[in-house]
Amino acid sequence: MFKGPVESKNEATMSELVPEPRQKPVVPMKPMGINTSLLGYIGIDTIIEQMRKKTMKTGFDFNIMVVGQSGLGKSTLVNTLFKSQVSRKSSGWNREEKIPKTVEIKAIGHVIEEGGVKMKLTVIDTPGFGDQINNENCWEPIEKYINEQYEKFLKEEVNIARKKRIPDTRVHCCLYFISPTGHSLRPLDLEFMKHLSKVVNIIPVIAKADTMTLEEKTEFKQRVRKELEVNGIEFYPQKEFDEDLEDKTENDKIRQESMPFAVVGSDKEYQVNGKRVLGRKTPWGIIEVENLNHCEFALLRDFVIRTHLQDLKEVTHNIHYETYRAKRLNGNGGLPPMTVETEENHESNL
Amino acid sequence: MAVAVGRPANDDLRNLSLSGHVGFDSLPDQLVNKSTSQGFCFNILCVGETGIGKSTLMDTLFNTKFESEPATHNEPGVRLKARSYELQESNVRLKLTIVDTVGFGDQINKDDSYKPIVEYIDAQFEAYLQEELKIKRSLFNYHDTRIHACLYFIAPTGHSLKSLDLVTMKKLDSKVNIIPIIAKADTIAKNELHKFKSKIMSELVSNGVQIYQFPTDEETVAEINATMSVHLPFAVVGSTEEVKIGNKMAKARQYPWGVVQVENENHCDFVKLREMLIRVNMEDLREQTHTRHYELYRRCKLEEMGFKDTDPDSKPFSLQETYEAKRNEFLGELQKKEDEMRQMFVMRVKEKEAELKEAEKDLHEKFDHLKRTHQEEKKKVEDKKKELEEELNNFQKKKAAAQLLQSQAQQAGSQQTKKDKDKINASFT
Repeated sequence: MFKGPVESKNEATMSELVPEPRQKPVVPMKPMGINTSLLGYIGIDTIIEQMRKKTMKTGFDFNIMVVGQSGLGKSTLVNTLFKSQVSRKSSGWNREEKIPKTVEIKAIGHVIEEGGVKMKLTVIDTPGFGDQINNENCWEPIEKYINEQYEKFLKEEVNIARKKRIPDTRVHCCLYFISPTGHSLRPLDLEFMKHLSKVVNIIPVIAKADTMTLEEKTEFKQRVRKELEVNGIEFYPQKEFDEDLEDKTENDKIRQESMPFAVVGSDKEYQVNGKRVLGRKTPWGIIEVENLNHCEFALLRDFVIRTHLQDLKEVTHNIHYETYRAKRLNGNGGLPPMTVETEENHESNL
Repeated sequence: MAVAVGRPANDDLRNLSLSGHVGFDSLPDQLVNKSTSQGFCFNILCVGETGIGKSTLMDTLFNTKFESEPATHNEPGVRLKARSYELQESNVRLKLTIVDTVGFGDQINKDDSYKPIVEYIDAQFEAYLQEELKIKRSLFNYHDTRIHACLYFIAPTGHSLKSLDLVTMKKLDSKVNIIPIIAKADTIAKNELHKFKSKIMSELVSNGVQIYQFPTDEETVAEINATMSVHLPFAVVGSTEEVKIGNKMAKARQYPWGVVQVENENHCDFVKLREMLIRVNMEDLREQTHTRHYELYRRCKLEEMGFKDTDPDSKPFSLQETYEAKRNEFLGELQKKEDEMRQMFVMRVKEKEAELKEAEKDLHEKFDHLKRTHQEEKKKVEDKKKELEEELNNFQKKKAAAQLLQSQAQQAGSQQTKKDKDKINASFT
């Protein structure tokens, strides 16, 4: 059905020297082609500045989802991560509100600015997850929400008259809170992560890590890692998306040593050694949140925000979203609206 | 399990202030790093007559000698020749593609000169659109061949734009960012140049040609862009040869009456062009191509194919529904065609059958006729045979009769002889 004009107008007037759109390999090779050496400064590298200016002007979207049973400190952690009251609980919701009878999805949007960079941050909370007596299929509403965001984006993208910048509500990162039992993962944890690691970037996090000693922590982390591996759960950063050797070694280190991050969250400040630090005050001492000896919060923050924020968005866009789109256009997404059979060959590209 | 999904509270986005350093201000750097590792694409289209200095200008602009041979004037039509180069400056890799219009303005009849150019531009858009519409696509890896900037070379006549220029630019202005430049500007004197420039700009405006507007919405570049826009179209001189000026070597053209320095802003606008094209607006050119020209192309193409965003009742159409409808239509047509063909086939068969029957009948007749003839002949032969037999019989009878007579005669004769003999014998006795 899609017989583009390229085929019919490929006559002698079209240059035979027009290069085919070359698929750039995932691992960048040495630059091929006619490599011409420059004799003077042209100014090509200014494109970096130009690009930076443009992106700063347009601003960024980031959507982070927190999943875990209630009481694990999700809201506090998110507040600590973004150093402001971004969680649902702080946005005018009652702290003592009842645990909902079903899994709800609540998304709150904020605009934060730092260093001239504007970010529209959306925190998606999932109260009610894992809190029922019967928790069967409680990941379904979450999966549905994530797919709905993909669907929304797809609809916008497929429009004839498209917006200049499609609003991005897709979930870029999902922090999954593991209860610090010290033993192993719960079946609910495994089920959730198994289902959702295919549609979203999951970063498992051990919550309330101040209940474990250092040895317990290391052992628990090892066990969790092993269990995740045994169950074939690919958490972010996924092995298969490592682009080059550099990424691979860096990510391997994170995957095999640091993850899952054992974190402690706090939005209260205390005086320690003359400095104001975020921490938790207990009779036996103050747990400093940003102290790497105490907990791995700083690692998580650096990982998510300072080094891999853009990568999280890109993996979501280039891989998870594309997978969803391909499935959807092939007609077996099983999601609203109706799924229709479509031919899967050149003729019908939609 | 019943589910309540909360709507993202987009309406009341809260502006929050941070109580400490979070660190997402490194986000632009993260973004830029990713792009740098992938490399950038930039595609320039040079439109202008043969010999107006396109290749030389490209060489001068990018400070390299791009291998190419000068074109002849005998081209039968306009051809587009694209060449790709990889340039690297510090850690930035640029995939530069320069597309040349070979043979532009050489023909006697230039009516169709603009067509190959428009077709080429459309073809690049089409390729991108095809990739975007694929089910399994890889846009982040895609080697973008869409034209980001079109340098239109105006011949330095000193009077006004040629009609070919106007027509071509009008056809291209909605498809590509046009930057008009006056080529070989060293043939125009300073005072004439100013008049020439204003004439060109007023002609462009009066003919409604949309050339590329340098963006003035961002403070850092607004000023420089605004000042540069005044000098449009840029009068440029290109040269790859170096001449010793003072104690430096500079790109220049040496004449008996003086030296035209390419990078001297008093002599020509080359520096301005380089600033605008590369150092300030390269990213904006790419963005405009994608968000404006490509979107326009895409919209037209999809509408042409019959897709709509909303149906007459202004309820949003799902693209898939439209596609389904189209597909059913298509299948219906196929079915109709099939039926038609089947009917034709049946008709043909009937015809052939009738023909064959006729032939058969003919053959039968012939056969009958032959048979009859044969019968007649046979009868004739039989008759003749009978006749002959009769004659034979008669002859036999006659023969028999004759023989009888003869034998009778013989007997009589022999009796006579015997009698004679007896007589003779008797006489003796």
